[in-house]
Amino acid sequence: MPSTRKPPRRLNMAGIALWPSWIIVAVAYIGTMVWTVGISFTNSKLLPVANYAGFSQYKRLFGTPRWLQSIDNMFVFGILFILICLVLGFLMAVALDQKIRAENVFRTIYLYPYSLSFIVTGVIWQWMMNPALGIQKAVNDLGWTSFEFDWVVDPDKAIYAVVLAAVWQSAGLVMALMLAGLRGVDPDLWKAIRVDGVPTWRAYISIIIPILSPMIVTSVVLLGISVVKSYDLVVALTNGGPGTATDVPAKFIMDFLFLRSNIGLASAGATVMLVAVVAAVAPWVYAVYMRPKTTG
Amino acid sequence: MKNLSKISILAGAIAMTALGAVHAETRKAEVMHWWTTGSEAAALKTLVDAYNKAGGEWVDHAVPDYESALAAATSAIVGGSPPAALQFIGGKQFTDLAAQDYLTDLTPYAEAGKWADALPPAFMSAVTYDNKVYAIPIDNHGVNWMWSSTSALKKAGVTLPTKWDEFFPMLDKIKAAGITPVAQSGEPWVQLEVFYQLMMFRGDLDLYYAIFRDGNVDVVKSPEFKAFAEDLRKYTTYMDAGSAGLKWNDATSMVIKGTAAVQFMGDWAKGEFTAAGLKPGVDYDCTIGFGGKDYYIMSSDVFVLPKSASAEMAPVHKLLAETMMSPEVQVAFNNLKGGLPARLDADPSSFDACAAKGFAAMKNPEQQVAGIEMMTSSDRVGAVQDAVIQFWNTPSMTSDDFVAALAQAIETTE
Repeated sequence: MPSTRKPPRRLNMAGIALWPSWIIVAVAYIGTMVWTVGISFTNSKLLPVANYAGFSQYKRLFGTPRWLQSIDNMFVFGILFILICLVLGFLMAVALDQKIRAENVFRTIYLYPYSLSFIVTGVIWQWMMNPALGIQKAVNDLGWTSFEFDWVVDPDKAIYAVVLAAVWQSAGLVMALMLAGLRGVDPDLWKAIRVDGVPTWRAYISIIIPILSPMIVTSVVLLGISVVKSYDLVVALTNGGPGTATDVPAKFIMDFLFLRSNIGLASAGATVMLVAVVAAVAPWVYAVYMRPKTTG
Repeated sequence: MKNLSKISILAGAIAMTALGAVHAETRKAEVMHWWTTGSEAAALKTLVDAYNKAGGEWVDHAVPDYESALAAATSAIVGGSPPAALQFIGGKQFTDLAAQDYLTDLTPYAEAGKWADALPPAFMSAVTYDNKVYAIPIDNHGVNWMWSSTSALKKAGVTLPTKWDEFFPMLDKIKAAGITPVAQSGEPWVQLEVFYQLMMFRGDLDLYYAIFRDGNVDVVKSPEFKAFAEDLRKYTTYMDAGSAGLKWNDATSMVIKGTAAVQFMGDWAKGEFTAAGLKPGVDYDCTIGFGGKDYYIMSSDVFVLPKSASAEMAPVHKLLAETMMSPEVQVAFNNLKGGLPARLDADPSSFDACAAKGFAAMKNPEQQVAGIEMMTSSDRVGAVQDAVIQFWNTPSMTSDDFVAALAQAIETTE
């Protein structure tokens, strides 16, 4: 009876095909991570050495005002950047979803900044926000002489200048994601909303936004990654300045890695960032992907 | 017959190419450096030509900046395939490599070439680690120059000060004339530079050595340092509002145009004046002091020669050391680069007014001051820089806060 015969044992080709990538992950990602954590417990300078130095690098790291400020800046930058991008991106998507004319043109314009690298964005905004040759000067020359826009040279406001440039770059991406989500909303749902006489703003807040939640999560993840690795934008726009007003952890680490020949301290900084990201992401990953699905 | 001669010619050609290859290979030197701007590249060409003319084969390996060069070089050395020569800044920066035995001992070449007689003592100690010579100094950059625009000074009706006390009154007059007194960039390394340049102009050599050589925290807490810090704060009030966004060469161009009166910057700023067609002593002036001791801070680009597994590198090392230490090569190289030769016995006849002034200072042991990189680890330089730029950019920070920040910077580094 052929139907009950056991199928011949086959090689699990798919599993075998994945082995090279597993090896790469183990060596190139996890291996180097472990190595970095190890180096952070040594007093390595220009070259990695194996002199165990306990927690001395961590002690110095958290006694360094510049590191504490860079952590501070990352939070200010991250929270403002993600929130403003989400709100602006959503509003732009809603505006485009009103079946307007020339939608393609607007969509392209909004999405264009995202195709630039952060370096280009940084340089452009550095020029525009420079009080001696940018927006401030242009407006002053037009006759409004008391107009001031000197964020980028003011240590208290420079971090907001970085937020502004980053939002300009990334809001379009959120718009594109949200618009895709809005297009996925069932037209019948809109008909039902109209029949019930629900006000449009109420419909967006209570019905549409919950439907868009996967898009929101995706946006937050994408934006969050660019916050943690924010380096190029800061380097191009302010180079961490004025002073250390816009320093971020990634820049701190890069500075110590080679320029200051202190691999030990740089590794300690990188390890702290790794732990912070894992601590922030792990519960969320668990909640979204690993928690047993509740039936209901 | 015809065929035979063809074959023999071919064989001869092949043999000659092979011989040529062997010959060139013994003197083939891959050199890693970060000289990529216009004047630097032009200067480098004189070095390449000199090496090739002496029978070597220079393989150029340029990396865009110091940081990337250091990263690339360190990985190449640790990975076991180092270049033949590698650019560094003289002093403490390469001691890690020397301590772990990655560098070739150049002492025999230094003794044969009598480097100790030709170099200023500060340079000799900057290329020496553990009583062995490990680096070849190729140039000397004077760091504490003040560049001034003749037309701006004339317009304000002032002359250069003859002592430090006249400096701020001069700036006041310039300000009153509607000219930006000092052109200043917002780059952290420039702010650190002004920090110790002002020490030289004020005559505070003890403070300089206490911070950058001895790491003496007590001196930082002294009233002398506080007085200096107040002057530094005062200096920052004479910059223009857009200074934070400027690069050093943007600031230099303000002096070139005469919209700003003076700028403190190393001698590489001269390249900008020269490129703009200005003449030293006529359109602009260069000053290293206000009539006091005129201390002259020197720093040097050096080359280190990483150890190689093959013994065939010895002739390459010899040729590199001889070429780079040749007085003629150093003069030709530095006339284009804007610096001075590292050797004191070089021929000064082709120098312009500023270079001649610098060379005279360089020859006088009373004026010689070693640059910070020669005495201090890059880690401590960086920590001091962080304290300085924090003070500089935080107008509410008092000199007492600055003393505390600087003391912490020195205590946490070695």
